[in-house]
Amino acid sequence: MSAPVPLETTVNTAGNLNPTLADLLAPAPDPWLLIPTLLAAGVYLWRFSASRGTHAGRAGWPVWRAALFALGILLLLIATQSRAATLTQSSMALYMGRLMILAELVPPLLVLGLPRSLHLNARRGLGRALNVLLDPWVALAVWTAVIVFWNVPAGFNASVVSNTAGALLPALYLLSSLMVWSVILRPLPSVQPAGIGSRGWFGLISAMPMMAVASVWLYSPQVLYTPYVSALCLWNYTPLQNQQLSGWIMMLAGLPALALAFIQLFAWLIKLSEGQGMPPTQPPA
Amino acid sequence: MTAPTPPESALPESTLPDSTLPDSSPAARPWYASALLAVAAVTLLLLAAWGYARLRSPYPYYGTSYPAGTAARPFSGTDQRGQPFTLTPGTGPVTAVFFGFTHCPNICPLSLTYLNRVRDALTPEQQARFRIVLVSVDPDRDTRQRLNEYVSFFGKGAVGVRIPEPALAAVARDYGVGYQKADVKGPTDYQINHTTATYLIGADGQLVLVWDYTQLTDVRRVQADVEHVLEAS
Repeated sequence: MSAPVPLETTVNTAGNLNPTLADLLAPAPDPWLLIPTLLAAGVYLWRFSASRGTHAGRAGWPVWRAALFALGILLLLIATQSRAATLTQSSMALYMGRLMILAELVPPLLVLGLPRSLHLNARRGLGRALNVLLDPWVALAVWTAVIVFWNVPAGFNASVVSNTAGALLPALYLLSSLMVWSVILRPLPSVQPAGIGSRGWFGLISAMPMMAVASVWLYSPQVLYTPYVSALCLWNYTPLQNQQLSGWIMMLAGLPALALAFIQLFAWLIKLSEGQGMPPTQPPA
Repeated sequence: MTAPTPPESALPESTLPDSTLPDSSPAARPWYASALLAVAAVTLLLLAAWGYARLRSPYPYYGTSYPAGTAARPFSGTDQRGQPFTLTPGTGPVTAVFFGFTHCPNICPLSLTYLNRVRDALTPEQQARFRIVLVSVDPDRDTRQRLNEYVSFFGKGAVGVRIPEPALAAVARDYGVGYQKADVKGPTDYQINHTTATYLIGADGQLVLVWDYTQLTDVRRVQADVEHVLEAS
């Protein structure tokens, strides 16, 4: 088992192998991700401000959604524009924490931040594109491809993997996970036909590979990710401790998605039983 | 008197609770159409990744290439024969540089072994234009004599360079290398955790690529990278 190594060209750990939180959060701008992030935040703020003018706009786009979106953007900036992003080669746990923020925290916050009053035409333009991208089959295939292609370098084109991992992988984790979370949370019913049952199954299937990897990392008695054997480890953690910590991070990050999948499946089963003429048990009068 | 309540259908859509919104969801597409779209999406994703990699470096290096125009930084020290050694990018042969130490139990011997195998696989003319440089991150224990014994053990192609502190820290910083004492049992009994990368510098002084030590075992691919840089120089 392996994971991609982002060989950061700017990594500079000499002299500071015990970075503090302030060191990790120090700004390290990456324009390729910073500019699109700020543009997306700007468009959101513009449309949100415009919605404040009418009662219907305010009702369809409550402040709590904007707050969740803002929190998502803040976490995205921390994960991609801070010095922590340049230290991932020195700590598997830090690397995994960063990827999990991008895959399991930022996407649900951004998706929940979208207004329910958004209505797109599934047959035209952006609506049509999202209708395809948010097809559960497409989202699951893209998510799986990102996980598999960039985690099993030897099996595919190693040149493409090693030359894109550092630069593309954070963005790919973010985008593919946005697709997955959009299928699960269904923020755009006008272009997403999936019912709650299929979303529950989808959430369960898409969460399983990550939970399996997390379990292996947690309980393995040896370091499985060879680049971290005897390599530098921040905060004086051993490579094995780093691996186990990574397993915990991955498992904890995956739990909300797994719990939501079970809730959706349970709701689907209740719906099924209601549909079969078996009303839910009434509480005693 | 109260104002008449408008019929529900007359209310703006966004004021209705979600459960009362008209179901405008599109029909689900057949599974085979979804499957085809999934295959197309994955194909596009991989093509885009391939395109990005080629944009970054037209030649498909096995190592991770640096953006064009990344100049290597010069450094000076003493080689294993006690002679002054200076790496002045742009004036010497194609150089593979890695940072290690002679008490290293695994990664440094592996790196030196495989880099020497790559060198041995080159033609004599190419060998004359290629060198391997080990920069010691343990100048306290890596004396000239020890460095000499160490690099000689692995072949004749490598140069061992000793750089005293604090100059070593500056060189390491220039190359993005970290190192730290670990498992310290005494003043001369310890290990050193260090960055495991090998940097390939072209004859023009450009930092071309970096290999992780796990990549060095694929001698054929590493050799292809070196040959391409030699040809381009």
